[in-house]
Amino acid sequence: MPNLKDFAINMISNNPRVSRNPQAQHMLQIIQNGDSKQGQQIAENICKTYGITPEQAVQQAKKFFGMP
Amino acid sequence: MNPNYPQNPAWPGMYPQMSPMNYPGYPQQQPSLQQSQFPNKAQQYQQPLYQAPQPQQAPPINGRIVNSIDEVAPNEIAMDGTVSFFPTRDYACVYAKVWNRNGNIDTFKYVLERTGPEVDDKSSEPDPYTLILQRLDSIEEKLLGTKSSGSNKAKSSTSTNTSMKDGGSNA
Repeated sequence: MPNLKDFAINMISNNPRVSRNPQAQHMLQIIQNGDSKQGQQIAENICKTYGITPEQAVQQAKKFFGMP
Repeated sequence: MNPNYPQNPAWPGMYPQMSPMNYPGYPQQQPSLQQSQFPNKAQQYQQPLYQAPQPQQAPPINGRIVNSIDEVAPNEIAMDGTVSFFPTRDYACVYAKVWNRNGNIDTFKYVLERTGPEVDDKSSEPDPYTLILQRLDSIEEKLLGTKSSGSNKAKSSTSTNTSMKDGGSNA
């Protein structure tokens, strides 16, 4: 039975906007490797650049995906 | 338009085989062998015979003209791996911003450098006519200077003589 994570990664990596983006490819590689520490560091850097907290980013992501 | 209904590829938006023959309740007529083997001309022209190659468009450049680099917000920088360019209003420099792998934004500054033939150096050089005039002026000054210095010497020698004479008379 195919793993849901593998299915999602496969779907994302087949997206041409991701496959042509070196930064996104790097992020995808981190997700595949399961390097949560590095992923968290990148996420914190992005939040810091945008001037928001990680909690605010999570709230915005939940709102975007229609999650409660 | 019913999204579940199959679309006619030759005419987008038109349903295939939309004719009074296909409406429900209308007796269906099977196409004859001649019709199926030799499609009419209208059907032939619906199929594109040759598709001209589409010219590849250059990808657009992200960015805008700015007064100061501080006014650039992070959401103005594309996250698709491309570099966004922000020239200053006086075109003195161009800032390039790109997201790096660590989730930060790298900023590069390109400063203006004038290229092309150096016209200023040639224009700063005087023309030959001016050079000749300048040399003539310098010669004239020297000649006048020697004359005046000569008269000064004569004057000074006269004054020395007088003083000597005076001194001599005093002594």
